[in-house]
Amino acid sequence: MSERDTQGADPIVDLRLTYIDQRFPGRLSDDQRQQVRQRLLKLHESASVLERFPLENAHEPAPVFHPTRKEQE
Amino acid sequence: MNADRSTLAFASIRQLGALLREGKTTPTELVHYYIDRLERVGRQLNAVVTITADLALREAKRAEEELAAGHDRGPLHGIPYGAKDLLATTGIPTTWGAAPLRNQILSPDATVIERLRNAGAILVAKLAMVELAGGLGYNQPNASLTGPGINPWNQEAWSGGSSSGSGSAVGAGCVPFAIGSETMGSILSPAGYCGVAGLRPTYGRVSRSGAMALSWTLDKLGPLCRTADDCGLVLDAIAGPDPRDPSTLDALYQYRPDRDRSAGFRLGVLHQGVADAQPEVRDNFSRTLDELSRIATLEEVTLPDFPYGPMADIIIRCEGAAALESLIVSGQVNELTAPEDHHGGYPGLTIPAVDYLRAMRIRNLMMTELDSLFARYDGIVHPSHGLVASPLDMTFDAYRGQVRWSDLSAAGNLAGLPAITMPNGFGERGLPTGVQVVGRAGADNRILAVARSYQAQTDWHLRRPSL
Repeated sequence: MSERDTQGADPIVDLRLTYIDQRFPGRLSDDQRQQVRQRLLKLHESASVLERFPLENAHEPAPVFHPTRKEQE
Repeated sequence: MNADRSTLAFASIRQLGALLREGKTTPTELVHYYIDRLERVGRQLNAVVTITADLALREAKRAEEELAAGHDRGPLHGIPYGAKDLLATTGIPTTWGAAPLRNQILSPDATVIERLRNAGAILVAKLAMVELAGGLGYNQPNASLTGPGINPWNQEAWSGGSSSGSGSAVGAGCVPFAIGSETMGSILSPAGYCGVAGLRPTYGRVSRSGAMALSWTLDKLGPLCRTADDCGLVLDAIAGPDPRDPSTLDALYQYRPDRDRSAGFRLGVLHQGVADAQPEVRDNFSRTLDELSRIATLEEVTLPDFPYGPMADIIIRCEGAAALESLIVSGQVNELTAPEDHHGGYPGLTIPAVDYLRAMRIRNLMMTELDSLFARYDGIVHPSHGLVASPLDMTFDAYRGQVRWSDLSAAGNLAGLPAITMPNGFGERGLPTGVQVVGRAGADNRILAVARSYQAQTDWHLRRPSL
């Protein structure tokens, strides 16, 4: 996967904004929509920074999965 | 009452306990005293949501009878306190600071409430907080159904948040201690801004059962008190494993100040970001280092290089959007106080799972490296905040720019590390400054020992606002 480039973020940000519009039709005013877009852009920038961090296949996420086994009564 | 009433407001838990056991006051008298102060001063500071007078008087009567009968539950017995209004209390509204939830009643009692009752402490008030613990990205002090949290030291300034009422009520002497919660700064911010001690325990030390969830992997509950010693007393009562919260640590916790040393500490000093702090914050920190050098050897440290801010951003926004999804989807967010909170939850709903998991994978590596660093020290010290509390009428973006968290705050919270803030002087507009000590995971007692020793040789924690 190629690195995301913040410079080229607009199409992805706009897609995410479209998702919000589709899921919540008519919910946002123009001004709110602009502020949501700014926030989406920041999240995209944060994600882009993280994408540049070198990770290997074996690197697991912080919470370790534990299978549940309820004791029999 | 034989006790001098003027000293009660700012008495420590140990001092109040001595007055109770010497028969110089009673739990009922203390309840009346603090409720009166909450009504007169606490409400003026927008620190109060609900005063629990009937419950408090019942609990006070019980404490009185038990103490008279020689049944002593320990240092919190008969001591009134306030709880951030995100802790469930049976039969009493739990608003999460949010106007649309002003009539929400949750049960059973949060584990913390239950444990404090078992320790004999008396709930006198549910305290104000930033709506939904700030999970929707508020950008101004006026973000709560009770109005902006007001600072007891300067009523034109913010109290900090999201545990705003916990900070200002303790700072104003309206309760001897309060419980707050922290996801990313919500105990250390109000405690630091209001000039009191605030302890963020190790993640999992205190059960969150019955507390509003904002971020399951980041939320912590902890005390705000007059002194570091009081923080230890409260932690002792509320810590411990809880089957109702699977994140709680198995290890039992005991606060034993008599077993800790009071000098000979080894402290790391983090200078990162200090140059950007306000001049008074820098000066006070410099003086604090001189004071700490009498009880510790100091070594300059730097944090390992990780993208702390972006990690915190993705994790909080994603978990927050999931935790608060029903309020966002239902449109109830439109009834919140801060206009930016009406739409602040939508972006988090669009975070790809892969982005969240990448942040959590980096977080895992970060925790290992941070543990190696913190293992070498009893604590790492840093100013609690680079800036004193913001003016009430200013947005955070305008006051401090768009950076919400220092690297140490993000790192400490992401790694679940304990931290304590203590007052260390005053800055612009007469507002308190603070110093924080962050410790290795599980080393709550060690940072409490450092903080106690610091407070034993300074008197910033004894200063009082004129109210």
